[in-house]
Amino acid sequence: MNSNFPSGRGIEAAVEDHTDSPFRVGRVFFFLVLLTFATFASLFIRQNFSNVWSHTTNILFVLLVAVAKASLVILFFMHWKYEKRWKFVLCIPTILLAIIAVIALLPDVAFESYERSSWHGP
Amino acid sequence: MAHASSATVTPRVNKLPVSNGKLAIWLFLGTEVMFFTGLIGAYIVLRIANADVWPSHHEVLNEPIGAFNTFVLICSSVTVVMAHVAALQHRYSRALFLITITFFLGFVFLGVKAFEYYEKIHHGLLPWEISAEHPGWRLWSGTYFMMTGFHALHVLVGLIAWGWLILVGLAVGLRSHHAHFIENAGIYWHFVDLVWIFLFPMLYLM
Repeated sequence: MNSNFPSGRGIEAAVEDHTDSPFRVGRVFFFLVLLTFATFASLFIRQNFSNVWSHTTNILFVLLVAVAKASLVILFFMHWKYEKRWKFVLCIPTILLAIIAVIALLPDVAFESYERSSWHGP
Repeated sequence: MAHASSATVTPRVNKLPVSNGKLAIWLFLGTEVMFFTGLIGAYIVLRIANADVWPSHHEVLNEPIGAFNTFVLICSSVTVVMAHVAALQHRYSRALFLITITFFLGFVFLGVKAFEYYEKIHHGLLPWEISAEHPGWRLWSGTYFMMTGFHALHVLVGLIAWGWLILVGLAVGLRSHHAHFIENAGIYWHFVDLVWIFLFPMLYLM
């Protein structure tokens, strides 16, 4: 077992082992700031290189970076790295329901193709 | 008789590998995920359905301000983690100091958000002030204020928790059991940060 990642032993054990040291927090902070800067930089990339950096590419990029940042926060700040498997019992159904709820709305609302005549005038 | 009654009363043992407090906060966050799914999901489907009339983020938002607020929330999350570690190491004055910084950063976030709201109100970007000729702008405004407003409300709740802890720390000093409070309130605070991590690109960059 890698002693740097005492999975399932709790945050108290991690602190006792000095694996949750300010240095580790500093590294996570560094990557979070770096990723935030990367998403912000995408604005300028989109403006100056729109021929190779399409709108779809931009959406995928910023969402992937957001997922990466969220993973860092969940793993290290919310202690998923140090918790046992009970976390999956709580979180997987919730996350699945959240994704399904949005996808289920798409056909009826997002992809609805009726004429919004009142908005576009007669 | 007394012997018999004491034999029937067996202490309840929590066999879960997690404290009651932490389990409660995670169950609460499960409901919070669904709450924000409703708001963010509404934004996604309304935006896709009205892509042709939706305003560009350049027209209605100030991206550097949003990025600055993201940085502020990340910093506040880091100070919470460091405060929790300090409390576990029985360095309570350091924990109190770091919580105070978190409290201050939360106020900075809300201050910046209040400035953004002031600008929107000043430019007539409230849903009921936008002309019906711009239906996409109305929808954008409604979803923007709903999502960021409820998020700011969550920040405010977190600030109340940190404010209470600071008062306790100043009045009687922090103790070992406050490490659990910092951890549980911290998990909530990180969740608020997590929501903003998704709101920032969806509103300011896409």
